[in-house]
Amino acid sequence: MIVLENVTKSYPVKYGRSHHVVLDRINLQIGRGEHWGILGRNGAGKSTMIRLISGAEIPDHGKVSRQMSVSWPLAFGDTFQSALTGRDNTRLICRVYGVDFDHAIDFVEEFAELGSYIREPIANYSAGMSARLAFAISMIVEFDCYLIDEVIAVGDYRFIQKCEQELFEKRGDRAMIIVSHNAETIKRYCRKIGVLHRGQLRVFEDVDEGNAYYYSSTGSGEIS
Amino acid sequence: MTGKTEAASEFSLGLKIQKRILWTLLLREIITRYGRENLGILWFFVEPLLFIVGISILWTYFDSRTVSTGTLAEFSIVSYPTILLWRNTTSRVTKAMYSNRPLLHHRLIKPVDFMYARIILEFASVTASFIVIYIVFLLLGISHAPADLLDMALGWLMICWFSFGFVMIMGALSELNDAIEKVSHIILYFMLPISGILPAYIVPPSLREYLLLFPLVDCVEFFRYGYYGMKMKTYFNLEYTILVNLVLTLFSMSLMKVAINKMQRS
Repeated sequence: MIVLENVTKSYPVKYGRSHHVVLDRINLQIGRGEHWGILGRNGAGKSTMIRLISGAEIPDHGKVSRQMSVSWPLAFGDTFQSALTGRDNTRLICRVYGVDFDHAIDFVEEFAELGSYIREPIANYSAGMSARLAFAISMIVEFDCYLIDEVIAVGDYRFIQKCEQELFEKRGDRAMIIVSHNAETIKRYCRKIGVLHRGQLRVFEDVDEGNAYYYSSTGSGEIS
Repeated sequence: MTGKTEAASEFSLGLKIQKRILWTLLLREIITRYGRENLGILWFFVEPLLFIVGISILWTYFDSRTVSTGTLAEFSIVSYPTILLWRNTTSRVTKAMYSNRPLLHHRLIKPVDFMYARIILEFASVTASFIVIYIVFLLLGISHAPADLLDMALGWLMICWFSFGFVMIMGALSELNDAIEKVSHIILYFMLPISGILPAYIVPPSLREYLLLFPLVDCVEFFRYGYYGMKMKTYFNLEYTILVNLVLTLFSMSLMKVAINKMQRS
């Protein structure tokens, strides 16, 4: 169980002279094995919410409590060290979580299909390559709940297929929180949905209902 | 009873994880800083080594006076490295937490671990180069064996202790205010007169009294006492220095807490 209680988060703007409230007293309960989609437009606070759930940031008010292990956000790039090689990044994660490196690197090499690039600094990778590496590394540590920040959206068809297999078939019993601005993505993977709009989170048990609200509230018929 | 053993095992597990995390961050720091190519890991102590050698040569050739206790080169090797402890480490820890923020997604890593990792690495690197160059100077006949090795080692540790508190404060301040990073070299420069690099015996007694209020001076004097013994007149008050170091450490830890809090909330 992960519980967000009255979570408020704001960031300083205008050099600290005022605050922009990104999340305003939001509440959410995520049970074991539940697949949650969080919809919101760019800048609606999706990534902020992910950072609060992962624990990288602390809310201004309210509480985030976790009774299950939570992954780092599966997003491409920003959780990894661009000066290090793909191999050294894998080693870093293995050391942090106490996972066997030899076993993990075999999986990462096979999954990410980087060839000799695995020994190059990530800074030299293309977007697709870093996405593949990021996803592969994320699969070497087992969690009760996975946080997914648009990562699946960046790959090509074959990569998406592989990700789906690892995440939704092999680990389908785990809880997941997927954030996206794309209603189709959410509809495809999630059973429950929350829509972020103007700092408020509205929760829907029915995905279609949530999508309808998303389109009407944001006022734009985003097509994709 | 079971509660007690549970707490104890939880504590030892926490300790194990803490050790693992620090080790991980240390190795990562070494790879990102020195790379895997060229001299690579050798830079670990070559970097400060070159500095100390350069300074010693400069002092010896351009100022060939000898102090009453021996050559300037001999004096510089037991004085100059102490500066590296607090000065180099300060530049390493400023903004260390901010620049490592992405790693905070891994909940096992705490912000202060970035500080500890960099401090440990820098202290180890300076200490290693000091030991290497001291042995070389010893073999060359420039330096002599320490009057009291234990006192010398304790003195070094005392300097490390002071430096720890000092760099933690500088690190915390750099997170709290962006301007600190820009003025830190000025602060470091003004630290020089109270760094203990000048032997206290050449300072007029009226001034010396005040100078010794700065704990770093006492630490360095004690370190040099360990090396020179009775050959050089040294001044220090250990009880006072330990007390001030303790207060400094506690203060730096609380300031660091404030800085971490601010970082995670913004």
